[in-house]
Amino acid sequence: MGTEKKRKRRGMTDKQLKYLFLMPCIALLAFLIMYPLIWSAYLSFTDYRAVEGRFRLFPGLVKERPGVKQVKPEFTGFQNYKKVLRDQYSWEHYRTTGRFVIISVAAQSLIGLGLALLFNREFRGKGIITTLILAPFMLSPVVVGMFWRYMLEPNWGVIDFMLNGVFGLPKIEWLAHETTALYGVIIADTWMWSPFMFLFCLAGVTAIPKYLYEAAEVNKASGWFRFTRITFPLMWPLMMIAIIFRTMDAFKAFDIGWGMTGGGPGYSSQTVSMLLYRDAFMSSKTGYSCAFAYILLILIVALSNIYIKYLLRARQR
Amino acid sequence: MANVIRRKKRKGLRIVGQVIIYIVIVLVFAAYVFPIFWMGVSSLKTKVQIFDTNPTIFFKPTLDNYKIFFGRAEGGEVGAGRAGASTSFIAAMLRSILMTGSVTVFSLLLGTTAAYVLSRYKMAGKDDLMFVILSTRMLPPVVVLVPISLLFTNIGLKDTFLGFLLLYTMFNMAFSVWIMKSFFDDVPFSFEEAAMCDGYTRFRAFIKVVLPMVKAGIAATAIFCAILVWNEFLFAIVIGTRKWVFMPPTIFSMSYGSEGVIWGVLAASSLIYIIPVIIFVYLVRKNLLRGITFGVIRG
Repeated sequence: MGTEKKRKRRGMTDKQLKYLFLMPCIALLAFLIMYPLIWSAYLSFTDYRAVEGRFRLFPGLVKERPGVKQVKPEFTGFQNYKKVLRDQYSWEHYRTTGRFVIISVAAQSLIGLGLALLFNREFRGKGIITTLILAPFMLSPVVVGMFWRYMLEPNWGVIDFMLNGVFGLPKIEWLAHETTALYGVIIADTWMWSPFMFLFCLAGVTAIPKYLYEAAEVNKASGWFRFTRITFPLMWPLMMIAIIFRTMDAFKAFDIGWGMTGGGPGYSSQTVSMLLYRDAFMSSKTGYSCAFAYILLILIVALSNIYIKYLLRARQR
Repeated sequence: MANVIRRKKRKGLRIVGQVIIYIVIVLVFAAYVFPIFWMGVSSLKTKVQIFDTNPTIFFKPTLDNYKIFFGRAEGGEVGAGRAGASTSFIAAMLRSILMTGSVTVFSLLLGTTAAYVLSRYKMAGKDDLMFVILSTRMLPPVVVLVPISLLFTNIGLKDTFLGFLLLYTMFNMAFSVWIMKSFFDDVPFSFEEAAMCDGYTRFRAFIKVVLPMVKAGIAATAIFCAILVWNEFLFAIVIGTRKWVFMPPTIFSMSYGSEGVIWGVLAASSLIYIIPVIIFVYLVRKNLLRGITFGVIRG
């Protein structure tokens, strides 16, 4: 390159630019991800509780309230991990989470697929209608949760009112019963996230070249044949990405359920994220919840590895 | 003759089919818009009308709930559910806007520069760095929440502007870096080369030549970052306990008011709160898929 001299003439060199541009990013990563993760790994092996006086990493940085004694965390080995894995109570939360993830992701995939097939045609106002249908998944989950809590209210909620008044069904009182509360949350989650599936499926369907259908037409192929042999196989890779992404997200879901039921009644609709939140910030079992968080982390890392692999494979296409 | 009749019959069937499909589209659309529509309806109702066991859409609308939101009526402090927090809706809204704006600018600054380097330079460990950045978005927020809140308490960043700015910029990094990189990848290197032959430095070539070419990408990234910050709830309730209380916790705290949930005000404030997001989604609709897949799929 003949630009070598010119570049040296003024300003910074390429190398300086590279570091200047990249450093803030790496610094932030180290400060807000690496460091907390390492620290919580340490805490997960201790009996630390955030309430018993504060253990300061850098004493003197924060003004202490008078009379607060510093308690050093006691090392307890694998105690916390054992407790988490043996706890019957938290296993029930895994089951709830599993049910939530499987049912809501399945419903969302089916609805998203159906919507995509339905919208795979030209009609007036398609742009604005599609945008409005897509909007829910960009809304704040906690606010969506409140919306639905309002609509599923046992006494005067509009959903039960419609089911009762229009279809003559008995009132379900979704959020008031332990058996139905989780399904109430699933309905809200499906309203919110099926558009996300729809977006992926629609992109998949519209990308299918038209000549394939023309060929099928010539051969008088049935609608079912066209769907199973052309449409579905060609959109599947995109749909797969969406499904894995949704599975991960549903596993982590916190806001929407928190806004709707707060985990109740009892703990019937409480997912692991909510349990972890309660343990960490309401019961202040800090060391224990760090161990709990690490177990969740391992699960998610395994899932996200699959996701990223699929995503990058899609890119090569 | 028989052929003609069959053809006519088929045509008739097709029209019926078309009509059915349009009816279904309208119904689906209605189902998706209904919750937002219902929120709008409820925001115009009085307390008594809301607690009616026969909800209706025919009633005399009132703007009281909006007046409360804008602090123009009694009960303007209903948002102050959290201990010690002096939060009127307007203040929370302004705080949310301020934070969303600052984080978006900061994320773009950080994201575009880092993405440019990652798109243009060869270096060791580049793929690993990209992977680490992406995986920050995969972590369950509640998992990093515990150590980050401890860290913030320890170094005095809890409930501060700077703390939130750094935290949310970190959250946005996966989006800003990955989306921007995908847009930079679309710009051929020859543009910078040509500019540098004309005597530009690398930095000036970046600013004057490359950046204008990815304007659309910057706009899309900005919108994604803004929506993410605007909607964030979990960290907002844990880190922002007194001073920096944003919109989502304020709306949420209404459900723990001393007189039960004030649904009318909640509906009005939620509606005001989500309208900007819907506008943003409309603006970014062409790049929606590209955005949510971190720029990997150029739908």
